Amino acid sequence: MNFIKLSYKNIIAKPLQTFLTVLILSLSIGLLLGVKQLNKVFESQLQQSLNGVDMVVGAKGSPLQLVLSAVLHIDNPTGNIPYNEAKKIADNKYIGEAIPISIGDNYKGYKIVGTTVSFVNLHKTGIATGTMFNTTYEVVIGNAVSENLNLNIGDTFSSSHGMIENAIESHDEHPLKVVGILKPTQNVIDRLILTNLESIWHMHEHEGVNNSPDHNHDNEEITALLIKFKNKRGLLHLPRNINKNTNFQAALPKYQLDKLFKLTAIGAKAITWIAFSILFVSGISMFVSLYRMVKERAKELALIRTYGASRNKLILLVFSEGLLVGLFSFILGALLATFCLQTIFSLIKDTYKQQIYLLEYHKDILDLFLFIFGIIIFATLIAIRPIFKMDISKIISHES
Amino acid sequence: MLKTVDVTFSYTKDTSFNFPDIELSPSQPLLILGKSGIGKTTLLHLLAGILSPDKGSIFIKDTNIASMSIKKLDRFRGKHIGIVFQNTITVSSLTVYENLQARLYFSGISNQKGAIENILEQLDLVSVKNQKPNTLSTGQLQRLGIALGVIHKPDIILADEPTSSLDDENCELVIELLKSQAKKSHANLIIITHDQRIKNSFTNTIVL
Repeated sequence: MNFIKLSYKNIIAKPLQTFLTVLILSLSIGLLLGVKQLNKVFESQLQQSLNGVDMVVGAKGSPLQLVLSAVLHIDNPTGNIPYNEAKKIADNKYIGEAIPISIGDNYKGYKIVGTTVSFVNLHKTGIATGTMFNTTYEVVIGNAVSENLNLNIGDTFSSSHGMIENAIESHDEHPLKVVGILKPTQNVIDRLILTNLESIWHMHEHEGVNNSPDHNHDNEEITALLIKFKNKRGLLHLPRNINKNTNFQAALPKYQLDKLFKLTAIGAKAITWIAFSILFVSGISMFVSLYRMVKERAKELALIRTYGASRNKLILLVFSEGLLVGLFSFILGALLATFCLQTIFSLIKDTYKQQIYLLEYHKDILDLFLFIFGIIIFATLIAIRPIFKMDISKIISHES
Repeated sequence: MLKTVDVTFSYTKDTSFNFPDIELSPSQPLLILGKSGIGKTTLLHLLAGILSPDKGSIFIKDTNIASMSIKKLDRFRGKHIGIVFQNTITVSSLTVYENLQARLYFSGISNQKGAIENILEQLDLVSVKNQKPNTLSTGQLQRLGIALGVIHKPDIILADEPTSSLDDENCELVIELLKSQAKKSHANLIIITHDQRIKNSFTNTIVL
């Protein structure tokens, strides 16, 4: 016989009340853990994908769309811009690096990006096997593309026009050849197919955009320029200048994403508040059940005092009852949250071909555990008040 | 071994009790008789260390429990005093066996040499040891109350109206059980009652 065993017996002696307390407590714990983690993972995934891109220059349109399409590769581009004009913008003392990208084709849903080698360096990765794309129609593929499509070096495929898989508009006459596979990054580049700009231009020549036989690319177009500033002071002047004085649009990814987060944060905040309200209710329910234990079983507690247990031991008994319920609910809630998160992540992996991992999950769990622990202590502290006023003589002489 | 000197206790200014001095040699039983309202239960609670007297001393094994701190008193009570209540009080979520275990646990006594099994045997409770108290018959519950009062081999066994709700036959049986249990642990058995039937079972009697 010990405290834990006695508490356990007491708890299972009132199954309905225990079930209710455990249910709402574990539900709120699960919700809190899940929402916090989802929000964190979502933000970090997007922030990480920025890769230090300070500014994007593209066709006029929605700045958020430009950022989503050119940096995160999750939306349609706003349009194309002439490469020659764009290059002039890049020729500015504030700009450190300007990487051109041309998007618009895909292979089995994976986007094909025409760019330069700098794009690979920007994403802090390199070739895992094979070589970098060198001539036209050579491609280097991200790790997820290689894994999910089972593509290897030497394999060839035909791209489709557009952002989603379609077999009708395929560029069959220009098959692309895999020459290299990139190291995995947990980043958007894992699910991209990279080639040089010329490949994209050549593939589209038959469409009559530019059909000059001398393959002069003077009038070629790109989708956007990814720009890293040499001097952050460029942030102050360049975007306004570009938007005002050119036909291009300059968007700041950080600013656009912050705007986006503010929107999604409202949802996360609402759910968090709901979860906190449920937690508050379950805290009250725990207090009520502990208080009832102290009140209804006053005679038993008095009896235990006559057995030699000190007042502190009775308090410990109440506390261990609360702790046992809290601990059990916590484990249940954490399991629930983990299971739901993993399910969501695997759904995301299926849909967006992006593997997502839990972020500082242990820290979240520990933080919340300490919080719940605090609630249990608080509930116990109020519930035990009758113990201090307990008159053993009075309680046990009122024999029923 | 028990000795009280000049013990007084009052709930309010108007209800003050002045108790006669008691002195018992080791293992000597005592019957305290008195009508209700005369302070019988108060005296029992004073002797058990549940109440503290306003004045006077209560010596149990040469220790004055009247001047003990609450914490020390709790521990002392658990080890040296056993109380048999008029209506048995138990922990309702525990079985008969577990109630006896809890009794020993909170007194800080380990279940040496099968003390629980022994007492279950002696009080004919073996067959119900895994049942919850609320499933027991009145007789079984009464015997469990005695078991809980004596399992830890106390120096003093205090019984509060142990026979008031029993018929003559069971009355005698319970007194015999209490006496034999007290003898086994060399304890002073003190019975507080208004039940005149058991007067003849005791030679040492105080009338309040």
